[in-house]
Amino acid sequence: MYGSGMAAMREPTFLILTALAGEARHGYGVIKEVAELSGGQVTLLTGTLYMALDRLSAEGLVEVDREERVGGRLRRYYRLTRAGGDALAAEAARLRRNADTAQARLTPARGGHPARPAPGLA
Amino acid sequence: VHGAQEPAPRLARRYRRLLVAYPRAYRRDRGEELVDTLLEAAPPGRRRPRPREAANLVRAGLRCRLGRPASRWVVVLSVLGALAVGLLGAATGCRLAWQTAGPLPDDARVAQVVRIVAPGGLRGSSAYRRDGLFVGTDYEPGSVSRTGWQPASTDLPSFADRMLARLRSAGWQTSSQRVTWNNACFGGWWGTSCNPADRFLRLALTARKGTLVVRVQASRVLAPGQRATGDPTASAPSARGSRFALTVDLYRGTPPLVLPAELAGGVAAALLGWLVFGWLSRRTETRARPARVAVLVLSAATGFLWAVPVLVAAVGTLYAAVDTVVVHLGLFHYNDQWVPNDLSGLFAPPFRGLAALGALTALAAPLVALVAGRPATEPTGPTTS
Repeated sequence: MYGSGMAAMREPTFLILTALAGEARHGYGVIKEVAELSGGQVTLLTGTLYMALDRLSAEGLVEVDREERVGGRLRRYYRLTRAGGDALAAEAARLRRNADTAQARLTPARGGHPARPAPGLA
Repeated sequence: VHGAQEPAPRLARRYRRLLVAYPRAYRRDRGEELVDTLLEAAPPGRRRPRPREAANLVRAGLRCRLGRPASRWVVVLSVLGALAVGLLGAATGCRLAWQTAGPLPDDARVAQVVRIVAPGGLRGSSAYRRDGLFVGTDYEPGSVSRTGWQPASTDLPSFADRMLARLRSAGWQTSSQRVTWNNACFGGWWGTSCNPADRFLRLALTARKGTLVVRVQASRVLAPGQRATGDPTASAPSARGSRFALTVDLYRGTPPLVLPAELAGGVAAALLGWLVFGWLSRRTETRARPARVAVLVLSAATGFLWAVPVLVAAVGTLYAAVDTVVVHLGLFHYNDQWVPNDLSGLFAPPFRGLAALGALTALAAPLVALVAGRPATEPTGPTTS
C-alpha cells in the first residue's frame, strides 16, 4: 500500500492511477490518457499496462468498473477504488511537498524570497 | 472495403499467439481483452507485432505465470528455485549419461597397455581393480591399476619421451603437454617445498584411446646416498641400483553423451521447476487456507532440505567449469577425466537423505495443491453451488 511514509510510487503507476481518477477507462483508454498526461513521455506497452493493472487490483487500488462487448470482444473498464484515490492523493501531496521544497530552495539563489521550511518535511 | 480490414485478423492472430506466455486460465479470462487493447494501440496498417511489444508481452506473460502480481519476492524465489532444480536436473542427466560408459578393460587388455608403458615388464607388480560407476562418495568411474618398478637405464625425461612415442604409435592420443612433472615443484598449490634438483624425479602422464584413459605415474627411486643432479640432460646418473617406480591406472573416459545430457537435463529441469513454482504460487493465491498453508510449508521445507545439497552441486559445477576451461586452455592436465558436474554432494551419504527428503516434499507440494479441490471462488465472481 502506498502511504505518506512509504516508498515513492513509480511514475507509470502514478500516471495510471491519475488516468483512472474521475473516469473509468478501458485498457487502450488508459494508454492514451497516460501518453497525454505525460506529454508523450510515457508510452505504456500493453503487457506492462496489464501487469500494472493486475498489481494495482491485488493491492486494492483499482477495480473493474464494467464490461462492454465491442465487436465481439470484451472490453473491461477500470476505476480507482477508495484506497486507490487515497494512495494517489497521498502521492500527489508528497510530490507537491518535494516540488515546493525544491522551488523554495531555488528561489533565493535566483534573487527571490528566502526559503521557508516546507510544512511536513522536518 | 474488405481489403482495409485485412491486416487486423492476421495481426490479432499473431498477438494471440504471443499470449501463450500467459497461463491458460488468465488467457481464457483476459485474452480477448488484451488482444482488443493491442489492436487498438496498433497504428493502422500494422501487420505484425513490433519486437519490443512482443518481448514485453512475453515478459508480462511469464511474470503472470508466477501469480501474486504485487509481490516482488516471488520473482526472485522462482529464479532461485529454477536454478536449484536445474542443477539437480543437470546432475541427474550427467549421472544417467554416465551409464552409457563401457566396461573397464579386462586383465588381458590391461597387460597389453602395461607392455606399451613398460616394455621390459613391471617387476614386483601388484594389481588393483575398483569396478562400478560412482563407487564411494566421490566421482570415481572405476579404475584398474598396476604398480611395480623397472630398472632405470636412462633419466626420467628420456624415459617419458620414449613412452609417449610408444603410446602414440599404438594409437593413444597424447603429447608432451600431457606430462606433468613433479607436482611439488610445478603445481605447488599447497606450498609444498621443492628442491629444484628434484624437478625431474617424478611425472604423471595421460593418454586417451576411445573411451579409455590411461594415467602413468613414474618416479625415480634413488639408491641410498645418491643425489639427483637436477639437470635432466646430464649423462645417465651414476645410477647403479636406481629404478623407476611405475603406476599404470586405466579409467573410463567421460562418455560423449554426458555433456549434452547434462545440459538438456539442466535446462529441462529448470524450466519445469519454474513452471511448477509458478503454478504452485498461483494455486495458493486464492485457495482455502489449510491447503494453502500445507503447500507453503511443503515448499519451504523443500527449499530448506535442498539448500545444502544444491549449494554443494553449485560449487561442484563451478569448480568443474573452471577445471574445464583450465584443461581446454592446456594449463593443467591431470587425468583427462572431464567431470562436468560434481554429483557427489547429492548422491553421497551426508546429503543423500536431505536431497531425497527434499524430493518427497517437492512432489508432495503440487499433489496437495492439486488434490485440495478447486481454487476458492473469486470474491467478485458469482457464487454458485
